[in-house]
Parts: sequence; C-alpha cells; structure tokens
Amino acid sequence: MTPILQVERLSLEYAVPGGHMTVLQDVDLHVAPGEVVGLVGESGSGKSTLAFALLRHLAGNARISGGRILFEGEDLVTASPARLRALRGRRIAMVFQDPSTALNPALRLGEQVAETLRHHRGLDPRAAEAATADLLATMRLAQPRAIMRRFPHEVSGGEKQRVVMAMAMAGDPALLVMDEPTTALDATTASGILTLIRDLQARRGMSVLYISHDLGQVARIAGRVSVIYAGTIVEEGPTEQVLGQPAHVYTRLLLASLPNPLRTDERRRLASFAGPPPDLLHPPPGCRFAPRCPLAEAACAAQPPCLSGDALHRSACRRAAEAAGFPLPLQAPEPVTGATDTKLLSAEQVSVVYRRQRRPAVAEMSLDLARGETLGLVGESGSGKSSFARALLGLTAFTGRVTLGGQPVAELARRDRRLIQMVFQHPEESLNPTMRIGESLARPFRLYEGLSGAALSRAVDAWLERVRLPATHAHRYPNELSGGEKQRVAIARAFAARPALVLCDEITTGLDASVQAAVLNLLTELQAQDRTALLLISHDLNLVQHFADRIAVMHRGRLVELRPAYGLSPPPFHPYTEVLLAAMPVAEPGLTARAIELREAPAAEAGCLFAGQCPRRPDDRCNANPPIRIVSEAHWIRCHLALENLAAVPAIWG
Amino acid sequence: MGFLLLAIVTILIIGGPDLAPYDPEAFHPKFRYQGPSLQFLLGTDQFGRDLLSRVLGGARSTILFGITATALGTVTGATIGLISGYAGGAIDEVIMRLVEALLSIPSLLFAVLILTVLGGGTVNGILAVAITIAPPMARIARGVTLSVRNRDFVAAAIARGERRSFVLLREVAPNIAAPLVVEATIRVAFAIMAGATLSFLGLGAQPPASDWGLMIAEARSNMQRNPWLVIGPGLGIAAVAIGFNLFGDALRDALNPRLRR
Repeated sequence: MTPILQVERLSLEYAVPGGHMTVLQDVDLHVAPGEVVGLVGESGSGKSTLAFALLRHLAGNARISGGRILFEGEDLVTASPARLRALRGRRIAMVFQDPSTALNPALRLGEQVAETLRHHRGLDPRAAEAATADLLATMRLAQPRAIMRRFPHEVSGGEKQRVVMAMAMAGDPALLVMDEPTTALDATTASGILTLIRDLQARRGMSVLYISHDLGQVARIAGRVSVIYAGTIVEEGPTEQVLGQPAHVYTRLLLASLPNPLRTDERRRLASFAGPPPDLLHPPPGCRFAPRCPLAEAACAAQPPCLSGDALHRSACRRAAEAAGFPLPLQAPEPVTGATDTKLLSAEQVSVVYRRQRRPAVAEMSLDLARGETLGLVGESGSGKSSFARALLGLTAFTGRVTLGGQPVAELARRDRRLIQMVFQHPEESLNPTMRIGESLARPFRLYEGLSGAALSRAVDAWLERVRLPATHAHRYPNELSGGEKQRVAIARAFAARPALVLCDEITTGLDASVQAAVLNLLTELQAQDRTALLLISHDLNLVQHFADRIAVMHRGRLVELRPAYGLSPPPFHPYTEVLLAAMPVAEPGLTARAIELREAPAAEAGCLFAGQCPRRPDDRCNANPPIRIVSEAHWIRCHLALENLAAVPAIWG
Repeated sequence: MGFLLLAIVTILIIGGPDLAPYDPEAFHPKFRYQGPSLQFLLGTDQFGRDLLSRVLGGARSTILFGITATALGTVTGATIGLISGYAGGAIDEVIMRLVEALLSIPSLLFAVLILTVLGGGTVNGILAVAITIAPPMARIARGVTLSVRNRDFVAAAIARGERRSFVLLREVAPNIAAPLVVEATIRVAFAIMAGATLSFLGLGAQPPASDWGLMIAEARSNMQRNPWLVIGPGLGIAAVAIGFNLFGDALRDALNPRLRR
C-alpha cells in the first residue's frame, strides 16, 4: 500500500547565533492509510519540529535543507503557500499539547467548533450548530449542547482536549498529527482520550501520527513506532518488536530508564545515560548517540550509521544485534532500604481548608511513616497531595496534629527543622534565581551546623560532587543550569541537612525519562546512605510502584486506600485505585490494560466522593461515608463494597 | 539614545560648574538681555549673568536633587511594600489603604503641602518629593512581593526554618529589585521636574542658586524681553527627563528575561 505520508531524508536547520543547528538530519518516516504511527523522543529530539515541518509551519529562522515530504504523492516542501493552506485542517489536521492555549478564552466552545465547520465544510450557521453538536457527541462529550454554551475556562482539561480534537476532525482530515496531546492531562483523562483516538481512527479510517515522549503512551495506541534521537530516526518497527526486542542501544536504555512496576527484579533501579545530549550546533560526526553509548566502538563515532534491518523493523545501530541483550549499566549494589518499625512521622486527622472553597483540600488525613520507609502518595491533580505535604511542613494552615519523633512539627526548634526537608516540583521555582548555587547549597550548613569560611565551601563542594555536578557550578546562577541539574541541587540542599524525612513533591514531573532516571537513582542512593524516610508524591503510579514500600491513594482530599507496593498489584483495590492502575501506560510488550470506563455522573459532594465516577458503584449506600475495610495489617480500603467483591475483580493486565 | 543623553548628564554632574566659561553669579551690567552670541553662547539674563554658565552650574544640583529624591522615595516605598506584601492579612490591608489615601492626593500638591509645613529649601524639597514618590513605589513593591512570596524557593526557606529577616532580605528583596529599579529611573525625570516646579514656586532652591527651576521662575517676568532665559534651562530639564525615561525603558528590556535573547 502506498503510504499517505512519506518523509524522505528530511533535514532541517535553525539559523542561530554561532551557526546552524541541524534539528532534523535525514529523517525517514512513513504512515500508511489507516495506520497509527508513534514518534517517540525526548525534549530537544526534534519531534515537534518534525510535526510543524509537515505543514511547513516553521519559525522564521528554520530552513528545510534537504529531503521531501510526500503527502498523498505531493511534495509539501515545494508546495505553494496557497496549496498548503488548502491542505491544512482539511487533509492534515493537528492537535497540540496544551488544550488551554489552543482555544480562544473569549469565545464559547460551540462558536469555535462551528467556525471551523463553516470554514471547512461551507455550512450555514444553523447547519454548523447542528453539526457541532453531532461532532462533540462523537467526541464522547456527555452533554454537547451544554458544552457548546460554555467558555474554555468553564470545562475540564479533558473536555477541552476533546473540543480541540473536534475542531481537528471538522475538516475530516486524512492524516491527524498529534503532538503530546495527553501530556497536560491526568492519567485517567489521558486514558480516555487515547481510547477516543483509537475509536475515531477505527471508525473513520484516518491515519494518525502520534508524537510523544512517553513510550508507554505510544505503546497503547500505535501499531508502529519510530524513535527519534537528536534529530535522527534511530529505530522504527512494530511497537511489540521495538519494545520487546529493541535494535538500538538508545531504545533499550530508554526503556530501562522508565519506572516499570512489572520488572520486579529491577526494583528501585533505573538505567541512566552517561553525559549530556549532543550539541546540535556541532553534532558528533558519526552516530549521534555514540558519545553516550555504553557499546560504542571507534567505527560508531566515525561514520553515521544508516537505517538497516528487515523491511519492517529497522535501526541505525552498528551493535543492533546486541542491543536487546547486553547487561544494563544499572546501579549496583541494590540500595538497602525498607521500612523499620520505629514510627517517625505521624499525621492525625489533618485537614486543610482554603478560603473561598467549600470542600476541604485535605480532609481528615491520618498517615504514619516509619524510619527509612518510602511511602508513595498518589492521586490526580487537585487531589490534595501537595496541600498535605505543605501542611506536614507547616507551610499551610491546617487542623489536626503532625508529630515528628513524638514532637509536634510546629514546635520543633530551629535546629531540629533539619529533620524534615522538602524538594519541590518545579526546579525553576525552588532555587532563588538571584542566589548562586553555592549560596543556596550553603544554607543548611550555615543554618544547622554554623559552618562558615573554608569548612563551608568544602562542604558545598563535597555535596556538589555527591550529586555529580562540577564544583564550578557553585559560582553559577540557577538559570545557567538545566532542569535536571537544578533538581539535583534542590535534592542536595534537602539531604545536606541530614534529615530523617524528605518530602518529594512531583520532583521529576516535566523532566525527560533519562533525566528522571538519573534524579531517582540519586534519590535512592542518598536515601540508602542515611536511611532517610521519603514521602514520594506523584501522579505517576508506575514510578511510585517502582520505588515505594507502601502506596497511599488520595482522591479529592481523602485517603481512599493504603496498600503495600509490589509488582503486578493484585486485587483487592479501591475502585479508584483500579481506575488509576488501568490508566497507567506501561511500556511492556504483549501487555494490555483492561479498559475501564468511568461513570459520567456529576461529582458527589457528600458520602463517598468517588461515587459519581465509580464504575463499581453498588447503590445509594455510597451517599453515606464509606467504612474502612481492613485487608491486612498494611492494607486497608475505604469503600462500601465488601472485601470479597473487591477481591473478585479480574486482573488489570492481560 | 538614552545612554547618550545619560552620558551627557553624568558629565554635567561631574564637571558642569567647571565647564562654565564665566562665574554663574558674576554680573556683566553692560550685557543685559543679550541673545546668543560668540561671547555669550546662550545669551545673558536681566543682570547680565551668562546663561550657559548658569545652566551648567545648575546641572549638578538639579540632577542630584532628582536622583537623591528618587532613591530616598524608592527605598522607603520598597520597604513599606515589601513588609506589607509579605505580612499579608490585616497589616497589608491597613498599610495599603493608607498608601491609597496618599495616592489620591495629586503628587505636586502633596509636595507643596509638605513644604508649606516643613518650610522651603533644597533638603526639605528632596524630602517632599521623596514622600510623594514612596506611595506608588510601595504599591509596585507590594504587587511583586505578593507573587514572589508564593514561589517555592520562599516556601523552601521557611520550611528550612530561616529567620524572617533572611527570608525578606535575601530571598524576597533581590527578586523584587528589577521592576523597582526600572520604575525608579523613570521617576527620576518626574522628580527633577517636581524639583524644578517647587523651585519655580519659590519653595525649593533659593536665589541666587542657579537651579534650573529657579532660573525659569526668575525669568518669567522677563520672558518677553529675552526668550533665551527660559529656553536654556527648559531644554536642560527636557533632555534629562527624556534621557532617564529612555534609560528606564532600556533597563526594563534588559532586565526582563522574556524579552532578552
């Protein structure tokens, strides 16, 4: 079958001060009619540039320096602007990452979709309105007419993305290009969008190019996947094969850098990459991955490899045969952790109520942490995870009682504040931009140990070395560091206080998989040295299952389940935990999650707060507060359903 | 452009009085109300004093007046705004309502009012102008403080158990400086004009000082006989005002990371 989209040896460069950045180098990519192809790469790999290049919607300093983009046999590189305009939206449509910026905040959603329909299909206003309602219904929006009357800020992120997708579908395109369409969404919402894309694709037979940094997401939707690294396609093939038998060292390492709860033998360990990604102003002459590749030989650095292999599965790697099997450079020995019995932190009936909000952000949370334990706290955005952490530190006003080693945290002496430290989500935000790194890192020593002068700078240098940053970084300002480097400084600052407990609030969100792996490895290493307890807050259940000893699941301010973390989590689950688990994309070949549909009732405000969406809602019992069902000493579930029923659910993975 | 004007201003502050061809207070009775000539480049006034020398001689006091008043007002306003924004709650409410009350009085009228109470003179003039500059500065400082206060590095400092003074001075203050410095450079122009106006009204510098505002005030009655009496110092004030405004704009662009590149 002739492909609908065929990119041949496409090269693209940006003119920047100091030369030309080759953002794309000889990229080959094809999408057959009715096919879903995934394009996976880290930030800066050129994947978004490729998406924009397909429609020649490029920045002023970008230049296509070679190659062809054949769409239905027509070369888009040489097509006239008028021709491109005719294709955009009608034959090729795009959906971008952030639905909140893709919509005009001043127009009602209905008008925005209707306008696209009028433009593409030449409908009159009344017909367009009817067509809009139809289209939104196709996007599985429960009440299309009501949604049409709303403004973007009045609907949820998932609903917005469905509206954006409706606009993309308005022209009935033959090819849909999606650039990280679910990255800004919660896991359950993202899962719903993925299901929708699959349905739409199956029904309309269009082709989809799905671009993402997340191999797990791509594995859920794409039949074939291309992996892009530093502007070159390093591997392409059927998803199963690429995940199961990677033929490029980069792909193999990328897979091993993802937290994967199914790889129980590699628990708490992730592969990380040596060195930084290549400078695209002066790319390495040979294989662009060679400088970081553990298997690189002299020939790799000398000459760029071509994509080779059989017609289906090809890779640009000289060591393709060994890529799937070589022993991973995992950190050894395995860090010693695990819970001890001594109780460290105890939170009793902690509630946080913000002004002008009826529902408490955190409602009567009780949680204990043992010395040296890693407790994962999961939940979707807005579930109150961060508020709870801030309450533990006393950064937010709360009711209830938080004690550390038997003493209320609020009454800790200044020197004892060292015992509880926090690492924040955004590395840009957690370091003062006007302070040099050395100064930021010196604070705990000045504050808790009274160090100064040479002893202080020795301590700072020692910690920079421990988090593998050059000593010269002490004289830099935060904006001169990358996101991963900043996060390491923040981690060093927290651990330098020699704390008993570190609260980690989504500390790897927004970081690339390889950077995340390095940060998490560092975290476990530091934790093992002092047997520090960790509260690992994340929306990423894979990560938490990979690293935590126990998992606490939060939903809308309440703790709904507390369970031990191990491998393929067996039932019983709280129905919400079940939904979360099924929504997590896991990059494991041959494994598919059971699809779980959420109910579409309005969110409950009393009784069980999950009742509105709960797929297992038994009956009106749920209007009352659910009881706690005790499974074992370390596992309880807050649900109206009896334990036998909760335990009888089928496995999530099959 | 702004930098060029400011370079000239700096030279005037340092060397102004020394550059003057004549003593600014020396009378030349034979040459009263002269137009520009080779002997007197800008002409002379009603006492035959050389106008160029007087403009140059007045540069230092006039410009330093503006800079000092602005610096004083900015520091005061920034401190008030910082405390108000950081404290929040009832303290913030009280301070900000007071600041708004002060803001509702036209600034020049306010300065005149202060000088009427304190009495005229250069030092009191500086104080009066500084007091009128402080309230708008306090508002800006408070606004920026509110956004900086909620950033994670401040939370991190509080969580570490840092002293409040450290959090205020080392974590928050450096991060509100940029917008304040920009605003201050623009306010310098205003302060110079306010100072000139006060001198014009007889409340600032006193004769025979060669302050620009005072020069224009003294020239008012003789303006018809020799317009050059007003043009010289007038141009001086305009040039300095424009210079600081342009400099402020450039500084804002340079300090704004989103516009940088």
